Amino acid sequence: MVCRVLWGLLLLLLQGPLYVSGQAKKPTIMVVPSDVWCNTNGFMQSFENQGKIQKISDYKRALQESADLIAAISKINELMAERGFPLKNLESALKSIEQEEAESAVLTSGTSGAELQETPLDKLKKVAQADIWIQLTWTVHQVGPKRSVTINLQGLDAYTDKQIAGSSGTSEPSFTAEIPVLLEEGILAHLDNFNAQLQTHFDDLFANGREIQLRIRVWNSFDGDLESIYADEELGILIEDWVYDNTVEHRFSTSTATETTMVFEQVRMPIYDERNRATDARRWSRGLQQYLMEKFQIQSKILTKGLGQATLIIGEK
Amino acid sequence: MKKVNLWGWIFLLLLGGCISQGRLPSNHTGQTECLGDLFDGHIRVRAWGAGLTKPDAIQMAQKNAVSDLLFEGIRRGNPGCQQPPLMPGPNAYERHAAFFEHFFKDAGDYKKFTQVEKVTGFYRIAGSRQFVARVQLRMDKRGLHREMERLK
Repeated sequence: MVCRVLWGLLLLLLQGPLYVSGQAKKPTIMVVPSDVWCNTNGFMQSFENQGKIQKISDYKRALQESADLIAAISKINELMAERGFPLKNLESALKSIEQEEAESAVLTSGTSGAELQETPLDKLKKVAQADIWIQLTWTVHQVGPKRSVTINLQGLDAYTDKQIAGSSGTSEPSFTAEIPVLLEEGILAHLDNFNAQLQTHFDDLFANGREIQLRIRVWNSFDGDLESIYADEELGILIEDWVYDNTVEHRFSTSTATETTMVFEQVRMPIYDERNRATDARRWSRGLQQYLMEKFQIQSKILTKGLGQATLIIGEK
Repeated sequence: MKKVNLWGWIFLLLLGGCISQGRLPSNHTGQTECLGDLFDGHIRVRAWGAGLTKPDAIQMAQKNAVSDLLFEGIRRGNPGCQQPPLMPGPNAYERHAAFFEHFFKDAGDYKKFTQVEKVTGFYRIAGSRQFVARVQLRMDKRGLHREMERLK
């Protein structure tokens, strides 16, 4: 302990001015058990998604029934926090959702009752507001009287679900019984490399914007469609022009454009707004909603799925 | 000025103390090495163990040494005293799992067959709070062999 304090003081003396002048922002992370771990250990739940039964991880039951899981998540949180990564807590996020559940299980239009269903995972992502999800898998091996652990970490972008970092390792066989100690032994040699991958991805978000998806739809009740003329131009083109003006380096891809539907993919929105608040798909597409109202008196409704997908439905609120 | 110099020297001396505890040597394998056969049924070995405290690390080194002698053999160190495993064959542990679970408990019987002669180093794994101890042990190989014969 004394040695750590002394080393810390020495480093501070040498790097003090640099430290004060600014550090790169780090992504917020949330550690969750992987789907593989949950399935292997019997923590899955069924969810009806637009008529189909889907199996998803039951994080709440896993946290309630597995002491090893809580210890493992705490250990990874501790290792990441020591390296300066802000954390979001899975348990707290789940409790927040429970409080909100009665109010908004299914999102509907205020006027005509259309719906866009979110999975429990989408809701959790919105509540937690973490940049990156770290999915954790571990397997315990018995090697004679000793145990070893193989640990796998996957870093997923919370907005796109794309894997942006990965690491795995196996601890040396040990008499240690505690899972956190074995996990630490298994991952320590690879953790800095894993964190470097996370930071590289986050630095890219700063430079090139965060990737989201925007969909445009039209209510049946709307008098017109995306080919209707406003200010001498088709509505669809005007929307596309707005997306062009409001993306980082004008980066986006129009994958679908019909009279009733447009889909913009790989849209790069700024990671923070002008007030330095973290932006998500909803907040960003609100700009388009306001533009359509102010310029053309067109009402619209925003529906979101998770953090990285927004649907703007034109015609009514 | 003299006061600043004095505090500076004290600071550096304390820091020097921290350096000598040291990081784990790059050639560390964690495996037990035979240092010599004492020709009285005992062997001298160098073993490694890790733990959150120094006593834990020493205790782990003792367990590792006994486990290596029983199941892996001791194949590193002095060529003249390398040891085959006392419990050879696959699933040697599993066949007597109940016995060995008790045997290797913290206050278990494994202690009867090892004696710490000296601790030759404590190290830290980079980024971890664990200590790694390098320990010189005297092992009662004959006694351990007799104990295992009773299992068969």
